[in-house]
Amino acid sequence: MLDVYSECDPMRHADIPPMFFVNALQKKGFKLTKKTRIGGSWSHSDAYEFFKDSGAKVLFNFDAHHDLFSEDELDCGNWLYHLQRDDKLAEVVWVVRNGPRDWAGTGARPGRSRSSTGRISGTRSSRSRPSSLPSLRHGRLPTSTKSSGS
Amino acid sequence: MARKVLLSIDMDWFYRELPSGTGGTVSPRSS
Repeated sequence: MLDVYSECDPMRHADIPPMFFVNALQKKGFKLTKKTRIGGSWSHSDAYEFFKDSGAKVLFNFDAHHDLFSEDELDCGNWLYHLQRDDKLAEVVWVVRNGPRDWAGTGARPGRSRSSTGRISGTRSSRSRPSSLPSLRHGRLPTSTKSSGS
Repeated sequence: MARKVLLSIDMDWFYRELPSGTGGTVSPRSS
């Protein structure tokens, strides 16, 4: 029998356990201060409104899912596609888990809708594993950032 | 001057995926 609590314990299985996450980001050059705006929501679709007028052009998405399905109706599976489509971002880094990617074997790929093929345009996108997450210098990504996922 | 970057963190990132046939990702929500 599967012990769901044990099998899903983030302290055992997360690439970076939640309690160490901020520290891990700081080691990579991310600066979080008392002025850092933090939002929380039950649905990731709310991230679109939270981010759309931020003025920032680089987004790191720590997510088991790419959230890049190309559909017009905003939801939790395409909010990032909407930010890209609306020219809010210049660069997106999808930080994938060290385990198998969620879309492996499903046929789902970034930029495709769940019902028909779509395309992402304009935004530079890359994937990173936690271990190869690029370090920031003054909030800037290295110019040679490359996809490390395959 | 430091540039602002955005971080988006889905709680599912912290949870492992269960083997196929057991219901997939167990996380607070599915995406």
